[in-house]
Amino acid sequence: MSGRAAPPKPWERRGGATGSTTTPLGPSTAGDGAPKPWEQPQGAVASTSGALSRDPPSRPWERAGTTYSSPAGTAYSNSYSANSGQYGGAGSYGGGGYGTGGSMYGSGYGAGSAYGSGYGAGSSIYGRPAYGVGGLGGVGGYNSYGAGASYGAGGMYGSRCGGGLYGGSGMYGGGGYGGGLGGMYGSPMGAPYGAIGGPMGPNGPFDPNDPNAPPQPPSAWQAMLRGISGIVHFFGRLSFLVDENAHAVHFFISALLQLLDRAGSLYGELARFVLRMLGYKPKPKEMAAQSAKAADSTSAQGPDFLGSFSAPLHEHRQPAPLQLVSWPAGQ
Amino acid sequence: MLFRTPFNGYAVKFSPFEEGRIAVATSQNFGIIGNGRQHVLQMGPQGLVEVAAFDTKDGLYDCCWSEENENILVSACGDGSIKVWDVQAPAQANPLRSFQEHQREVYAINWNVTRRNLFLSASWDDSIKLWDINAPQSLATFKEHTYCVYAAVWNPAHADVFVSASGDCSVKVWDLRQQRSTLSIAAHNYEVLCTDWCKYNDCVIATGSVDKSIKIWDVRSPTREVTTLLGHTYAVRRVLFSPHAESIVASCSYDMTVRLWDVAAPEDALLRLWDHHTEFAVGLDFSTLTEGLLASAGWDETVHVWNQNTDPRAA
Repeated sequence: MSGRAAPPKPWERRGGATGSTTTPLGPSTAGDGAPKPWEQPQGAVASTSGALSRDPPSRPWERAGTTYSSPAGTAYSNSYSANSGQYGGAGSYGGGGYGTGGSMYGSGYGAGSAYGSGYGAGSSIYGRPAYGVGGLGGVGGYNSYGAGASYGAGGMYGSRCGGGLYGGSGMYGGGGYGGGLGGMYGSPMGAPYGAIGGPMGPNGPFDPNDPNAPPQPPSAWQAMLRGISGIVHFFGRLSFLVDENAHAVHFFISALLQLLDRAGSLYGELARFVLRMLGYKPKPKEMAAQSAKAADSTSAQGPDFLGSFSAPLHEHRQPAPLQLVSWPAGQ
Repeated sequence: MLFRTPFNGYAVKFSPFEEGRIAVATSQNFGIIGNGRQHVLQMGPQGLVEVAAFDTKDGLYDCCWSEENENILVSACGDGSIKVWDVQAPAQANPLRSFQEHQREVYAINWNVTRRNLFLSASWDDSIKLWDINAPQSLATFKEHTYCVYAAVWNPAHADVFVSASGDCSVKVWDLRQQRSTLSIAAHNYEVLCTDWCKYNDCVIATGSVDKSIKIWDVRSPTREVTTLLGHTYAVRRVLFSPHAESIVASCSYDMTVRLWDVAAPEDALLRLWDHHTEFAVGLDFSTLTEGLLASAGWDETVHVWNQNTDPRAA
């Protein structure tokens, strides 16, 4: 890799930075003449105040359950075994180390429920500090939690703050799988754990380190999802109403039709009328029959099987209904 | 001048070689999850034109031009890798190299302007690594911070000295010739997100923090800051000393503004305020070749380049 040299920087052109002994930035004269940090003898690390003794904040991916993916992959046990008294078989999680891919999960568990092999993978999907999102909760570990309840998706331990997109609650509901948890770990705490699972509120499993703590407020993600859920619910209601209305209209119309169609001839009449409008003239059978009857009674020709056909020939008695039928043609 | 990127902008850098050439690092979905894209833009009469674009599998948080070769560019990637791109090379030859050593997201990257084969990377695995573009592995790892390191910047006057800013609220000054950091300043009460050296005074640094303030420090008297610049209403994401003037500082913030300050006038420090971004303004750079030219990038998927005396929206 070679190329032309970069143009000199503005401060190089002006002979800037190199040897500053003064502090032209206004009020700072305190440091004048003092040695620069890199000019001090080796080992003399200057440090101001005790600020670094402060506890560093926990990382978002640690806050959210501390479970998945530490770079080392074995760093879990400490944080949880410390609480083992409170939490029953805390070996349950953490003892053996989750993310370590295939390591057995704890002494208490018996035979190889190697679970959560997916944990350590792909660190990038777990939240990033800048947003405080709290992580997506981890995806791994859907193969067998002992009893083989395979409901995978994640953060079951979920994020004590419910920060996980999956782990937290609203979606899978505290109660829903709360019941399962106990058995699943096979921990001595199984029963109470599951029992508490029910009313656990919208924010997912409680903090394993402090079961009495109130649930944490929903994260931004959850709030957003909840908002979307509200919108979807509203439109669901709307479409339900439309659907329901369609049903109502259907029932009303069919009832109306049944009422009007008591004789069952409505459609036939209707069709005839429509056809008539379209210009098709059906032979008016019943009129012919009527006029045939009339012809019978008046002209006493005896029963005439062809009467119906010959009826139009009797012009002395034009049946009124025929006029009605021929109304569109005028007169 | 305006350029719209498909993803959310994270960093913008002027080329030290070619006037008007700009690198922009972007991430999909605000960098939470998704891909990244490294754009290379060129200013022209018809605005900003894309010269090249490189895709990555994880978001890009920072980028930096080589001081050695005008076509080389490095990006800090969310999967912990550092990608080296050659703008002239065909697409299949890129990335030229990928350095994968960090355990977590690489958040900042900075090239040494004096020893032009060296650059630094700062990562969320709490460490800073020193790289030689020609070496297969990192040359050194600096691990003293106890939380994510958000920035590491070389001293423009001393090729061995750099400063780092971390989420453990401290700022440390390092010297490559020494094993450990040579100075540690408890700079803010909240996470320190950015830092920069004054280009005309090798002892002055600026730091920007989640506590919304910018502080100016003299590393020879680190007990107290020289000046505090107040005005941003959210965390300060990037702070930069002007390459053209000693006391001019630019900053951008999660309050979506870009501001220009004069440090020498602490009581009336704010010179300019631009609110052209409609989302977090997270990328900012001064042009070293054209005085007064600024570039900014933000989560609103825009990149603006403008002269500091004009309105970015008009330009």
